[in-house]
Amino acid sequence: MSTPEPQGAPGAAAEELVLQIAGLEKTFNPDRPNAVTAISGLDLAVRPREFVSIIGPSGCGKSTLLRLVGGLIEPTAGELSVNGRSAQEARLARDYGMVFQAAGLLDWRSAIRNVELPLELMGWSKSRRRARAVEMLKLVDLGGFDSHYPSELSGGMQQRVAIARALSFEPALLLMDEPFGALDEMTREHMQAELLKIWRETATTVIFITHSIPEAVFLSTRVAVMSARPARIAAEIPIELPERTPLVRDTEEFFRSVSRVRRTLRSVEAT
Amino acid sequence: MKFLRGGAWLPPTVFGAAALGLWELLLWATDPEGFVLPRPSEIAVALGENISEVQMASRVTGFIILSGLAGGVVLGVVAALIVTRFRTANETLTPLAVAINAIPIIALAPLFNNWLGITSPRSNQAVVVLLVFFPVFINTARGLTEVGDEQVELMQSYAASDWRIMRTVRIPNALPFFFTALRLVASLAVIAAIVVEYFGGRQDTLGNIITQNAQFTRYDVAWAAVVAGSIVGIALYFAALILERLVTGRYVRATAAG
Repeated sequence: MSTPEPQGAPGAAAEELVLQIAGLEKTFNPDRPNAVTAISGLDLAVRPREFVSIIGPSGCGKSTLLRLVGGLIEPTAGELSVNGRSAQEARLARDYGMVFQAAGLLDWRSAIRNVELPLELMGWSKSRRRARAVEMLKLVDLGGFDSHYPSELSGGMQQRVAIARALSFEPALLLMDEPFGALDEMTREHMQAELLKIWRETATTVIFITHSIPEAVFLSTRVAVMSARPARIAAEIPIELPERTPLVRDTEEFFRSVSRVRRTLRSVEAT
Repeated sequence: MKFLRGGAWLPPTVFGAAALGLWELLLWATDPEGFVLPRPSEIAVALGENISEVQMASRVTGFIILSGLAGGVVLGVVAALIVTRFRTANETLTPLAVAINAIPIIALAPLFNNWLGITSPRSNQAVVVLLVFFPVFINTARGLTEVGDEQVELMQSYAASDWRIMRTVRIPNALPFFFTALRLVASLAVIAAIVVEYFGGRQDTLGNIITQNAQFTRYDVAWAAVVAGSIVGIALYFAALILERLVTGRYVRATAAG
């Protein structure tokens, strides 16, 4: 399969962007002596169907950026719009599917009822949400695990339920905060391949936080490198790979992209 | 429900019977004077002879226990919901609850008797309510607040209201905490109710049967009332356990299997 190219010309009009961020700033405890500016002067634009990974030194504010985009916290300054709406409006319009490092499943609900949770909140009828949840569990290769409880599933399976839950209502934007960070290497690579498959099938736009360079390169159409605090996007590297199958990890292009991201990250950390 | 099946009953039943047998045998062999410690068989006979009196008293004391338990549980759960929902309430109510817990509540029984009337059940109920309140409040509040950050953020990302988060995430999360407290206070309430009756009040109570008969060296009758109190306590404990399994049964079974 060929690399899905980012759609829309680089200078596309604002309406064509899923996410547009300009001059974003976030300061915690702004009026106190312990004020911390986590993010300052951050710009980022994401087009529909893109898979953008955000990578940067640990503690640089990657998760803060994701929470700002998700409308869970308010920026101190700057502009942030999701399909032309504010992050708050987009959150209330349920534009986001979120996946965190911890799967965050409700232990007392079976896998299928966890996937149904957002649909329940959106007032879907019981039969409609059950049908969708069955479909979503099949999409993440968990058909037949409907009635299993989280405690009966492995870490990787739990994370797949979390992904199915995030995608169940077809959000405009999938926000993932190191979703595979707690998984072992084998499971992680398997999950990456699954995620790519799902991304192709669902036409979702993904923003993916990670601190693994190979993971970012393998998954993304574009890698955005964040600087140390106060964070901004220091560099954006488009990733061109001949194919997106596990075999691509052994190709010349893959290594070239990985070392390019690594060099950029190193130069960002040095400044 | 495993605890209702025969297998789980057998070891404690055998052990209990053996302990009673040993008790009987030792006292029979050493033959101490009866008032030190009556034999189980003597207690059984005393219980049989005084069954109507003990039954009546169990009903009176049982009512105090049940009503006090219900009051304390309701208060504790409501307080826990309030402090979880409103931060200012948390800052006011929690220190207050801790202060109440620091008071030796059973020691207040004579004062409550003066205050609410010595023959009124209300003074007994008040002590049980106060004693039951704190464990229920602290445990339930903990279950309501000890929820993963990502679960709350996730619900917020679905534009769920605080009340919806309470209903869907916090309350189910608090259920095991609540039931642990319930099993604890079920026994605590029995102790509290009987000890309060030691301080006087109505004649037809388990506490009164114990103090009166102990005073007149009729230890076997006093012990019969203790046995009745134990039966009430065990019944309440199992009622709490059954309620827990009914409410959280599916989830508990799944966890045990995983």
